[in-house]
Amino acid sequence: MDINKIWKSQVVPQPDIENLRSRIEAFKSNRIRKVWFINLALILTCFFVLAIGFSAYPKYITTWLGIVLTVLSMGIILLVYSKIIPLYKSLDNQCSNSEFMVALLAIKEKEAFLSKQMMNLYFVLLSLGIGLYMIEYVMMMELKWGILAYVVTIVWFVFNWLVLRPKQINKQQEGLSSIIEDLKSVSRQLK
Amino acid sequence: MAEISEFEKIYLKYWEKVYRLCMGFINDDAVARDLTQESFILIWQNLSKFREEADLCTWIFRIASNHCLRQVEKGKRMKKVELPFHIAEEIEPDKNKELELLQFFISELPETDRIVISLELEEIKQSEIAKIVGLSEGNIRVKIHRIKERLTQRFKENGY
Repeated sequence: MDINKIWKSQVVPQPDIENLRSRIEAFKSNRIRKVWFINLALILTCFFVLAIGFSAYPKYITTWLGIVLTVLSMGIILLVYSKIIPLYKSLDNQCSNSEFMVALLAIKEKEAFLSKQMMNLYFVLLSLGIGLYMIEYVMMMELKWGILAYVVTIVWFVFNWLVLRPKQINKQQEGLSSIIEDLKSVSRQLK
Repeated sequence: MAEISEFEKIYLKYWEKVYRLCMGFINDDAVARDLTQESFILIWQNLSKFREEADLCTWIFRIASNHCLRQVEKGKRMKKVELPFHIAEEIEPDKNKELELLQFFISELPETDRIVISLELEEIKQSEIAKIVGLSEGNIRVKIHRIKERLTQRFKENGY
């Protein structure tokens, strides 16, 4: 059985240079678009904070802080994105397969770590933000209603922290863990 | 058609080899074509970093094989546990069937073995395969020997 001969008998499709050229062009414009998207998202976030602030006329600094923290917590996803993308950009395609797998695995593990940390930060910032935002408006209420408002909010935060947060983190980590396991199994083949 | 650039000359020269490597890894024509085109985009991106002291062919294969390995991350791995129906039921040997079988047997191998054997079948020197994969030359020699043995065994099991 001459496997070399069988291998060479493959009918290889013709190279499609026009397709390659258009892909390279699309790649160039996509790169520019991505930078624009991040900038635009940051500008919109700032605009959003100011718009809410000015429309609500808050007098207390805590209300402002609350608004900033709440919006910041929503911008966390953007922050994760902006931290993870450069990691992949730094991945050197020119190294050997074994070096490449080590680097890729390190990035995936870092991604898993960052995602988890960011999810925790998201919940902390959101809870703090809403807590601070409420102070000004709770102060205008009667004591019993104020206490009730805070009790309901705190119960909601506790539910978020103990139920929703672990669920969200587990979902996210499950996908990443299975990829990490697959990458580890390939890395082991190179030892 | 626009003028052919240096990069496009490389593309036309190495397309077949890179395609066969990708096909050896993924055993799916459409995905292999995609992987090949994407590998060349990476080659185009990194061309300015290419150092003349390295062998161009080795450098291209490093980029292409690393790109193939990234499919593991994207979950595009081929997982075939039994022979495709139409191959299993036919027993009369002919060239295309042999090729289909070979590609199928290669797709059963672990990911890095698929790369090693595809490079070997592309007649890349074992010392260069070692540089691409990142293992010692001795290790590559042993791997190739075992893979070939396994492929021959699989052919025998299927009446060849």
